[in-house]
Amino acid sequence: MELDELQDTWNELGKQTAAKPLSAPAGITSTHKSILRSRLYRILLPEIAGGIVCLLSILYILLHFDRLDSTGFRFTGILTILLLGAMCLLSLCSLQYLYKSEDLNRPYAETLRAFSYQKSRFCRLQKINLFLGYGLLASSILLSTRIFGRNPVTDNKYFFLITYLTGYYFLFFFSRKVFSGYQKTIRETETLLQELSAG
Amino acid sequence: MDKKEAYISAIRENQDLIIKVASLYTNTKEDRNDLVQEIRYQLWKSFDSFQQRSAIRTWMYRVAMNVAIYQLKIDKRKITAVPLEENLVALHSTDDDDYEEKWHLLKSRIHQLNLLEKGLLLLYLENRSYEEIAQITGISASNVGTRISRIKEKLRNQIKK
Repeated sequence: MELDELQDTWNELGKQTAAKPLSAPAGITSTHKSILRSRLYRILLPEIAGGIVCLLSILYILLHFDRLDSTGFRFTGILTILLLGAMCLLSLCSLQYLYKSEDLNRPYAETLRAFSYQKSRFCRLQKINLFLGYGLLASSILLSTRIFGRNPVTDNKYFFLITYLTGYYFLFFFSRKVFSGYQKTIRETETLLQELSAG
Repeated sequence: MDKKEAYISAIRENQDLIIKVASLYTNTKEDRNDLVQEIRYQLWKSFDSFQQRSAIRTWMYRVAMNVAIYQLKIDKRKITAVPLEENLVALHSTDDDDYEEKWHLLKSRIHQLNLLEKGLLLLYLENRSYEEIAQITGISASNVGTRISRIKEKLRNQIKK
């Protein structure tokens, strides 16, 4: 397809839209809802649910803190609480930009610049969250042996081997794909930002 | 003419613009229709801020392209790439398979460009002058010319491959 053909194809799209006009923009009143906003709520709900789980876990650890019978376990308990809190906070911080209301009248390049900064920040925060996930897995498995009390599962001599192997195997393969996605996005946004600052 | 009438008339006269912007920035029919609606909604919401310092079409391009970027803000959270949907252009029931194929090819070419290039190409394909493109994008007119030449070169190289 040559450039002229690209132009022809584009022009044809214009003819098609003109040939059969869309229905009148009815309902553009107070009853009209922003689709983006309703989609945002859908995105936010699981994040809030995740945050609540983190906070409940913190609460659970605090309520059973007396079960942590050695300095090492108490340290692990505090570390787990900090990790859970940080992950919850990072997740909410990374979403914050989605709710920022923007000026739609500004030039396209300015919008792109803001969008790229926000996207890059979002990916960096998510990357940090992934790393914290590795730490949380280690500390929470260790903690579970005391928090839930002695039981046949945790007393099993293969408990640590099985849980750590399964947990890290899953996390490694899950995060590898997500991580490379974030890396790619960060690279792209940085290139775009460079281009924008050059113009 | 009151606000609502002026708005409806502007939308009727420029609906091709909205559909073209939405078609270029989305990959599925559902997303495109959502974006068309969202652009209309945001145009209505911003209609008071249109200060008539530029032509209404110029202002509409700016708002529509900005809304398209905000839609990406949400959609890009899904890291997995959304494949280009076949028959995306089917705005109307059309039997024109040949056109469908050409449109798909055009989209795949444009897909290789970054968001700045995509916006510039859209306006270039719309036969907007460099001055108007500069007004919409906020890039100087001379820079627009340089960038469009680079985009053309990029597309030519893609075609050669």
